[in-house]
Parts: sequence; structure tokens; C-alpha cells
Amino acid sequence: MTSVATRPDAPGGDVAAAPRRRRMTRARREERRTALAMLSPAVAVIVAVAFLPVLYTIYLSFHDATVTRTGGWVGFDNYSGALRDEVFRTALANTVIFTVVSVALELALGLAIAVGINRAFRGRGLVRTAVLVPWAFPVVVSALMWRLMLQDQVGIITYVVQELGITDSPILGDRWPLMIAAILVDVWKTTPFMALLLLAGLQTIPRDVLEAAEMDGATAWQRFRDVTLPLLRPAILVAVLFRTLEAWSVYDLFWVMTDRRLDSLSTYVYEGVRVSQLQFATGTAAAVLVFISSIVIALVFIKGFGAKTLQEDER
Amino acid sequence: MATVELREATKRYRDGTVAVRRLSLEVRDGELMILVGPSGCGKTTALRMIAGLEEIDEGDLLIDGEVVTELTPKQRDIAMVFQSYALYPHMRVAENMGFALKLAGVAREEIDRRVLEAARVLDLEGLLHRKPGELSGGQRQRVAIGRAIVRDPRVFLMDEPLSNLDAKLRVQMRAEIAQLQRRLGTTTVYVTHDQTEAMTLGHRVAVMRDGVLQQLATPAELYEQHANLFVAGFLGSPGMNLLPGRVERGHLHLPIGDVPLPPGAGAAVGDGPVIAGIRPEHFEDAAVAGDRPGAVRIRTRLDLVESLGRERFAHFHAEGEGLDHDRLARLAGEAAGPRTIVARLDAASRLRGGEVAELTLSPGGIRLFDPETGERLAGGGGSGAGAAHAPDAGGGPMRLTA
Repeated sequence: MTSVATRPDAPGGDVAAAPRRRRMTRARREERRTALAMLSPAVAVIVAVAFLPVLYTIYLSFHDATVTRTGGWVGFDNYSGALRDEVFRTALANTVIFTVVSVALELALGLAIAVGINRAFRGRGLVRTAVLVPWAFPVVVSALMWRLMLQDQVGIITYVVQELGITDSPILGDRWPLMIAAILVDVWKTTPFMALLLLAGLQTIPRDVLEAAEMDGATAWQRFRDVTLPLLRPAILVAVLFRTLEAWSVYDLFWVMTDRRLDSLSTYVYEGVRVSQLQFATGTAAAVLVFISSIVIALVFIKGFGAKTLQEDER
Repeated sequence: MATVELREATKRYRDGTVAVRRLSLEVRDGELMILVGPSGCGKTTALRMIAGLEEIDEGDLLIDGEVVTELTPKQRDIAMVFQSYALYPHMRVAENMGFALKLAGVAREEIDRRVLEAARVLDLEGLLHRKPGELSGGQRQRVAIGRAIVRDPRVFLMDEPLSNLDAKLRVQMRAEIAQLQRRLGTTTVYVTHDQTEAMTLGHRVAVMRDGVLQQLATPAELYEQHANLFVAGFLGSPGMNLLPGRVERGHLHLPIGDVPLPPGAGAAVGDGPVIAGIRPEHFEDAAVAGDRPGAVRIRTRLDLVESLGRERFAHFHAEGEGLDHDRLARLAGEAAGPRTIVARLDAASRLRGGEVAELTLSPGGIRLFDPETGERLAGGGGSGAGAAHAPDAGGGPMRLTA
């Protein structure tokens, strides 16, 4: 390599042409090698931080593990144990219901808000900022705040609901009122985020195209259905994907607001691994299940619906 | 088939700026009318008012004699070609072109038939299944036109449809649009800032400045009988040379020399200061031109000679006092042009920059303007008397900026 690089210029064009071409490809190969060398520390850190814990958890999930020792190989016993566990099944059902309902509501409301604030009106900047306030709260704080409002002795919402005669039982007592409350809090909190993502998408739609549709005789609803929605599809997919993955791993909201009376997959894992050490092995299996199901959800969105998380090649 | 008429139409933006001021014009049935002017002159706003995309604050819009000011774009039955083409990126070419018909509830076979017919006219048959992202600029432009003609609307509106094409394609599409419009015979309003497009395409051309119509006339009339300094300076490339002058006893004194005015013309103007407009083609190299009857000879040092192959442009400047450029800018705006004088010379000319040259000037080509108002004065050859009024403007006398 060095000999090529320091070689003096050969006299005469013909002689110089051939080695120069080879030198180019060699230089490029060298460049790639340098690039790999420079990337390798970062890759090593990512492997150590992201992949090793996952691989270790997967490894543990096939063993009769406790907190203190790995134990012997038990194959899929931990998985079948988790799947047979009534608590796990309830947690799974809760998570599915919570994810589907809250993301659907957030999409509908977020879209309405995004369309609403995507136009010129007085005080638009203020409204856009105000809309984001619920999202800026830490989950634990908003969960606690809502828990107080829903609390059966001093909660303002409980009081109103009881005065109106909708229900007499405490809201934070049963599974379904708890679930509804959790969904509503999540919608309250993350709809702004959804609206913001969709608003960014709306702003990429050229005004000309909507005006062209108007000239073509489309009503406001037809313009929304036939032009805005299809062009917003990439933004919707990305927003729904992010929100679905987040809702699927819901933990803090359930843990804080429902006082452990409502299980999600993540609270099940936590209880198994951390709280009740007897369930450690089952907990790791459940953790792996959460991990795999998240990947499946992401793949369905990206491969199945064509969500483009990084770039967009339309137009 | 329709006539379009704007009556004293005004558009005011919320911040108080007036984009279009009391604009009156009538587009005849089957006519291709050009709205031209520098950017910000209100031409696009005027077009969007006809389209129904901008509200008309005062005045009225009539289509076929019927007031449609309050109607939606849909009810006006107008198709528009946008500067950006504004194709639906998620629809294939055929869907783009058939969208309006689909919304109107036309049967599928009928949509297919009409889309195919338009595609044949525009040479788009092979592209019907592509999406806009897979088309070149020229092809997108055709689709945008196709989307308009498929509907067979009463009126076409085109907003700078050629400005995103490269120069060669622009010339080609310009010819195609002219042919297509003649064949379809659909009343068309076409906005451009390009005076060449305006002159070559338009049956009649409306020149606008600062939201006010300056002149409405055929291209030939505009070029020869411009109503004021702005129109004179805006049309032609390179633009008209504007020089300060003084009329005295039938002679025009210019910084580049004295020119006799045609008999009668001097009297019509009257003695006093004027602004003289001379187009570059009214100069010639004396060595090439020889002795033309009536031509005046002037001697000047050339600053620069540019050769464009078929013709040459000589730049020189006048000695003595120049024009008050602030006033000129107010009267002629962007059309005021550069301060040097440009002469178009024959390719056979051997003159070079830095030389002292002898040029001829045809006095018949000189146009005189009022130095205070910028309005065209009679005289300087041609029958300038009627030029201050737009022929057949359909909306009262011309309003001139003062």
C-alpha cells in the first residue's frame, strides 16, 4: 500500500493510467476498512448495552433460574408456565384492550386536533403550546393526579359520577372502571403527541394539491378522504406504530394509578422478576414474550402496512 | 365555450394591502388571454379570483354574462393548471386525470374513454399507470393539462404552467399549448411573468402592475402602441432604452444627439421635456445600414459588444445629464431597465467594445412619454393617438399609475 501511495508519477500517460485505476479501488477498499475500524467501538457499545442484556434474558428464560442462580435447562417450561398462568392471561388481555382502544381513540382525537390547528387563526401558537401541556407531565405525576381525582373518598370525579347516579361503586375498585380510567388518562396524556406528529405530516401536504382537488369539484369531506388521508398515511403509520409499541409496554400508568389492581404485561414481568422471586423464571419468559411481540408489531407495521420510519420516498 | 368578465374586481388582504384594484377585463369566447406583469403585480391573485380560490372583496365576476362571484370553484365549472402542477402524488396518471369526473359521478366507462382520449391528445397513453413521482417534469406538465381538458370545462386557467420547465421544453410546450387551445377553442386565462410567452401565446395581453391593469391589447398593439412607460419597458428583450429629452420646434434633443420629429408629431406633443423610448432594434451600425432615408447618425464610444450569433448587442452610455432614476423607477418600476443604452446590431457588424462607432437611429421608432405621468405622448412616428386607451377593454378607460 505504502509503495503505491508514495510512488512517483510515472512518465507518460499510458503507463500511468492503468495503475491509477487500481490505486483508486485500493484507496476505496482502504477507506472502507478505516470506516469499519472507526465504527467498531460504537458497534461494540451498542452490542454490550442493547443486545447482551436481551440475549442474557433469553438465555435465562430457558433455565430454572432464580435471582441468585441460573439453574438447569428447562426448555420451554417457563413459557408454558406463563401461558397457563391466569394472571398472565388477564395481563395479556388487559394490554391488548388497553393498546387497541387507547391508540384508536388517540388517533381519532389526534387527527381531529391536528386538522383543527393546521390552519391560520388568531392565537394558533398559544393553542399549539397549550395542547402539549398534558404530554409534558411525567406519567407518574399525571397518574397520581388522576388517581386522586378518581379516589373513592375525596376524588372530584368520583363525587360527580356518584352525584349523577352513574355508579355507586368506587371507580378504582373494579377491573372495568379501572381499565376505562386508565385508557382515558392515557388518551388525555398522549393525544397531544399524536396530534403533533400528525400535524407535522399535514404540513407536508402541499396546499396546491388540496386546491387542485377543490377545482376538481371535491367537497371538504372528499378532499379530506381522497387527498389528505392518503397523503397523511405515512405519518399516521409512524405515529400509530410508536404509540402502539409504547402502549404495549405500559407499566407506570397501571402501577401508579391502579395500585396494582390492574395488570399489564410489563407489570406482570416486574412482579415476577422483582417482587415475587418465586416467579423469576416465569417472569423472564414473559419478558421475552413482550420483547418478541413488540418486534412482531413493528414488523407488521413496517412490512405489512409499509410504514417508513426513517425516510419517505414519495414525490 | 364561455366569456369571462371581471367588473371592478378588488382583492384586499387582511393586512390592508390591495392585491388587485378595480380590475375590469372581458375575455371573449374562445380567446387566450394573458395576464402578465412582474412578480407581485396581482396577476396570480386575479387568476385565483376567477378560479374561486380567492374571494372577490368588491366587484363581480361574470361567466357567460351570469354573476358567479359567490359560487364555489365547483359550481363555476373552471379547470386550472397550477404552476407546481399539483398532481395527486398517491394517484396514478389515469386516476389524476379522471378524479374530477369520478367526483362528478360520471360512469366508469365514460371516465376511461375520456381519459384515454385526452391521453391520446397529450401523448400520455403509455404513462397512464405511472404515478406522478415516476414522471419527468414535462410529463407531469402534460398530466396537469390533461387533468384540465378531460373535464371539458367552460374555462381554463393556467398559472405560469411553463415556469418549472427547462428552456428548450418550455418553447416546445408553449407551441403545444397554443395549438391545443386553438383546437379545443376553450376560453383560457393564462398567467405569466415572461413577456415572450405573453407575446407569442396571447390573443390579447393584459399588462398589470401593482394590482392595476396598465393596458389590454393584442401583442402587436402592445409592442407598438404601449400606453405608458411601464408597458413600453416591460415588453421586448432587451428592454426599451429610456432617455431624457426636450422637444423644441419639431426637434427632439437627446443626450445622444438631435433628432427631427416627423411633421405634425412635434406640434402634437408641444415643446417641453419628455422621456424618449427607443427600442434596441431602431439602432444600426452605420457601416452595415448605409444611408437610410431619414436615419440620423450618432457617434459614440461603445462600452461593450455582445455577440449572440444572429445579432449583436452594443452597450454605450449617453453623455451629459441622465434621467432622474428615482422618478423613472416610480414610473416604469422594474421595467426601467439598465442605465446603459443597448443597440441591436446586424451580425455583419464589425464593431467592437472600446471603439468609437457610428450608429444610425430611425426616428420613426422613437416613442415619447410624459416625464411626469409616464403616459404615452403622441408623436415619434406611428399613430400613437389612440394608444393611451386600451382598445376594447370592456371596462372603461385605462387607469394609469401616476
